[in-house]
Order: sequence, then C-alpha cells, then structure tokens
Amino acid sequence: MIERENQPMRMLHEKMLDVFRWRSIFSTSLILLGAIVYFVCAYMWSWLLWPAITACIGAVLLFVLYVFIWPRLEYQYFSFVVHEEEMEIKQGVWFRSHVLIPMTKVQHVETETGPLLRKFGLASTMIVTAAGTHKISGLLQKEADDLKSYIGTLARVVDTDE
Amino acid sequence: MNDHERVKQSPTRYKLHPAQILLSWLEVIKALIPLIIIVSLDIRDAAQLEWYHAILPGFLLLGLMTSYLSWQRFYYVLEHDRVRIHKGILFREERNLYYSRIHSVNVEQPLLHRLLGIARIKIEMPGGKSEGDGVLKAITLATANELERWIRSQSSSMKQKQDGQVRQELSQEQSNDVSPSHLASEQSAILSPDVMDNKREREYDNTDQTTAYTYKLPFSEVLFASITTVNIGLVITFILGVISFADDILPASLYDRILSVVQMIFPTWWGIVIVGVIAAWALSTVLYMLKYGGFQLESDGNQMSISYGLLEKKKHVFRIKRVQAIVVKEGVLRQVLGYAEVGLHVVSSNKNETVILHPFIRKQLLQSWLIEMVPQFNWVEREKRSPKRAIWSFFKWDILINGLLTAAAVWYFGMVGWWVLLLFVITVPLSYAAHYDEGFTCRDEQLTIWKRDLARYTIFARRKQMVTFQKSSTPIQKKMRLQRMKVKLMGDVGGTSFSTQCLDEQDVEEVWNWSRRDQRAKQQN
Repeated sequence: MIERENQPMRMLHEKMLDVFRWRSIFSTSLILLGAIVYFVCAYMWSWLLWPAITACIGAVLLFVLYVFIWPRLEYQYFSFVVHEEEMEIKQGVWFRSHVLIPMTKVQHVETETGPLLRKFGLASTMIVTAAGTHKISGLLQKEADDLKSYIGTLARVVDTDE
Repeated sequence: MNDHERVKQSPTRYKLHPAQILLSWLEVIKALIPLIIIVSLDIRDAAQLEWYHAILPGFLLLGLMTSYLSWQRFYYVLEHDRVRIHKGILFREERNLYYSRIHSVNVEQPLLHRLLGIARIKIEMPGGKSEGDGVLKAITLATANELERWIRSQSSSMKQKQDGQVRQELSQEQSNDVSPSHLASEQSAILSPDVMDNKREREYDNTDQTTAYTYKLPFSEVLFASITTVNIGLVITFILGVISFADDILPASLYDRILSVVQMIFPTWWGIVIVGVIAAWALSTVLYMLKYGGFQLESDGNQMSISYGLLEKKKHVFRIKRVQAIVVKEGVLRQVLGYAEVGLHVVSSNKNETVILHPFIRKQLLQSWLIEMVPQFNWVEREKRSPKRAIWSFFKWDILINGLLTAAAVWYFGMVGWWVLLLFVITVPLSYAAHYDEGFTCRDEQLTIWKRDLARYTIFARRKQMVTFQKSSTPIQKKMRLQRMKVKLMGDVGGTSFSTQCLDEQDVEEVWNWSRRDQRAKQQN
C-alpha cells in the first residue's frame, strides 16, 4: 500500500510530442493562411496594410511558440497515476490543475483513437464519471487498452449516498 | 406471488393523455412560424393561390400525423422493479428506469398543461441526457400524483429490501397475505400492483418512520421574499421585450404619441430610468410570487416533497439521502435584513436548476432547521479563510476590465471618458467583500465552502458524494503559495461544480489529502 502511495506519476508516450506539434502546425497554419490572404487582398485593393503586417507577425510568432516551445511544455506538464482507490491527473501549462478521481465514481472507461493519433500508433483513454469525462490522450494503443482494463477492474460504482 | 407473474406476462400498457397530440403538434407549429409568416405574406401578395402554397398545409398535416403516431406508439409499463417506456415511430426505443436508481421525481404543470388539466412527470436518473431520461409529457394530474407515490413507495421498499433479508421475507409473507383482497380491488386501482405495495409501505411507516413534517410558507413571507429579490436577467429581458414589442407591433403614430407623452412627463432621462427600475422591480416581485407562491414542503424523514407555483405548478420529490449539496444564498439586501434562501442540488436533467428548500428563512433559525431537514449535513463555522496575500487575485479582473473600459472610453469620448474610473468605487468594495467572505471548513465527512459574487453563498458538500476534487494554480499563484480548489458533484448534465477563487496552498493541500481514499486506508491500518 505504501509503495503504491509513492508510485511515480506516469508521463504520456514520447511520440505525443509529434502529435502536439502536428496539431499546432495545422491550427497555426490556418491563421497564417488567413493573414496571407488578407495581405494579398490588402495589396491588391490598397486596404490598410498595418493590420495585415501585424497579423502576419502574430501568426509567425504563434507558429514558433506553438510548434517549437508549447508542445514540450504541454508534454512535461501532463502526468497521471492510477492508485487502487483513486486516480490523479495533472495537466495544464499555465493553469496547472491536479484532479483526484475516486474509483468508486468512475462509471466507465473508453479508448478512442483519431487519424492523427493512429498515425503514430497512439490512442486515448477516457474516464467517464457522472460529472464529466477525463481524457488521457497519447498512450501506445496497447498501453491505452491495458489502462482501460486496469481501471475497469478497479472501478466499481457503488451507491454511496446511503 | 401468482399475481406478480401474471402482471409480468400481460403488463398493462399505460398511454399518455391524448392532449399530448395537441401539445406536440403545437411544438411543430412553433417551429414552422417563420414558414407560416412567409407563406401568408406571399398569399396576400399573390393574385391567386399557387401550387406551392400547399406546402404549408402539407407540413402542418404531416406534423399532426407524426404527433398522432408518436402518441400512438408511446406507452409505459410499471413493473415491480422498474418503469419501462416504449416509444419511437421508425426507430423503436425501450427505456428502463429502475426504481432503485431514481434520484428524484418532478411533477410539473406549465400553464398550458394546467389549462388542459394535465401534468408532466419527469423521472431523474444520474447521467441522464439533457431532455431527461424519463419524461411522460402529458398525463392527468391524478395519474401523475399516483405514479409519483408509486415510485416513491417502490423505491423505499427496494431500499428496505437491501436493508435486510429478514424484512424481505417478512414483506413477501405480507404480500402473499394481501394478494387475495388485492385481486378484488384491482379493477378500481389504476396502477395494479400499487395497492399491495402501498400497504406494505404503510406498515413500515408505522414501525420505523418518524412523524411527517409539513411546512407552508405564509403569503406575507412570500411577499417579503419577492420584494427583496431582484432578478436582473429577468428584468433585462422584460425591458428588451417591451421595447421590441413597442417597436414592432404598435403602429408608428401611436408609438410616437406614447413617446412624446412620456417625454412630456419626464423631461430628463433620469426620470425614465427611475420609473423603469421601479417597474422592473415590481414586475420581478410579481413574477417571483407567481413562481414561489403556495410554497409547501413535506418531509417524512426519508422522502421530501417540495411544491410551489401559482400559475405554473412544480413539485419535486426526492430521497433526502440523495441530496448532493446544500447552497445557502444571501443576496445583498437579504443579508442586511438577516434572511437567506436555501437551495438543494439533486440529480436533474435541467441545467442550473436548484430545488429551493426554503425561499426565505431567518438566519438565526437556519441552523436548527437545516439539521432537522437534512440531518446528514452538519452546520459548521468557517475555519479557514483566504489569506491576505491572495487579495490581488480578486482585484485582477476588476483592474483589467475597468482599465480596458476606461481606455476605450477615453479613446472614444476624450476627457469625459475618465469618469469611467468611477466604476472602481463599485467594484473595489465588491472584490474586497468577495475576498473577505471566501473560505472553507473541512471537518469529518463534510466540506463547507464560503464564497461571494454579488450574493454570499455557503455550500455544504459531503465527501462520499464528491465525484472529483481538483486543485489548480497559475505559476504566479504557485510562487505565492496560493491555490484554488474545485469540487464536482453529481447534479445536472455534466455535473455541478463549486470552486473557490484563491486560498492558501497548505490549506488546500489538507483538503486534498482529506479527500484521498488511499490516505484514509493507510491511516486506518
């Protein structure tokens, strides 16, 4: 029992870094694209140029931040641990939160994998409680499945109102 | 036992009241209003009827047909351990609501239902969908009340079965004894196995239940309560409604005349504002009274039933043990007068709906009264409060928002814009009060949180019912050893959560350890 207490927090799989990066590339390149389109329009119809310039600079900065810096932080600040009676999830780069979920409140566990995660052989495990879903996204598919069945055996919803 | 088996084989199928056809057709019509307007305008302008004008009657007829079919297909069956609901025209659906899992039963009578003499019953289960898992949209009031009583008796007899084997055997013996007489009376009873179980329930009532408690809120108190409540959201929607109504419906000449009369009576806009505020306040008073008039609370120590409403009637029935949290709310005006409103959180499918346990109670009476009503909660005093160094975190949003507003005003209006800084006169005391009132007490099995936005809240929650506990901080807060906490409970869709703004890290850590199960197990060993 005491050993379990000192169980270290588990990190996500290293490959998740790439997934974070690709996600950032997709989303920031959309902004960059918008900025460029505005820039071209502004050039052609001689609109104000400074919004376009600031938008472009902003988009580039966001791109650098979210592709090269943020994923590492996001990865670093996500960890979780499963005890026998409860589980903890730590996450958030700026707003750092630490959640405690008692096993008796876990209703069911799911695994899910999207196209991007699948490309890297990863999956998400979702822990569903009566008050919302917690997601651990970025484990190897087998790990995610193991986690799912492990939590599944620990979770036993009992009516503790009485 | 023959009886039960017979019931199982040929269960009685209960249908909704036929008025449901009308109700769901009205919903279709409501959705079609834009189309109706377009088509009627077109008919007015067109010289003769065109073929496409048939679209509208076609849709209306289709709506009526689907309304009829969905009513035709809908039926529910009462079994000894659950309610079974069948519905769906193309996709048939069967829903099972087990009595032991039901958290609360609401009987509601919106205005239209009341005019038709029918009611709507909502059976609330945890993890339900937004529409509510078990809604019977139209049944007669008598049936609704009977059904509510039936579910109540079934769920408590289920509970008693769990309590002990001996009792179960006993009750079966009893039901065997009772069944012959039950057969005779079956025709008169709407819900066939009801009589038997009611009898069983009554016998338990005599043995191990405390005396029933009934409380009716006198009219004068409702009036007093309504005067001290100003529902700002309601007032705003009312004013906007009046303006748009006046703009759209009234003929332009009349509108202008009213406007000029108003301007004659009140030469300055101050007058209009004052009259407007008073009118809105009066309106909010009337609406409050319509909502909570006739407030009545009944409790037998196990189940509680709360009903209110003058025009639209509502009734909540739930097990006292299933109350997730108590929220005591003191509005600014009420705090001065020494009164509070007590709300309860039970599992429900309505977003943000709290059951009102008492709309208006004197603060001195609150403590003893709460212990009597919901004995699993303890009354405590605040032990920990937000530390002094946390005060900046209460002021940061004020400063940001007021700063932005001032900057915008100065940029737009010039020097006059600096007057916006006067906002600080209002927000600073408010934020200070929010900091002053924040805190918590964590003792035994219960976490009690104090906080304030405009009103002051005291929130009581029990550890057993906490679904998740969360602590969080920004890096700056972390450096200052500050943290916030958030408790999630079962409640409406997606859970109900209560959070504090900023507390001492060590205090939050204590609560964190308190909420851990492993820790407790270790201590016990």
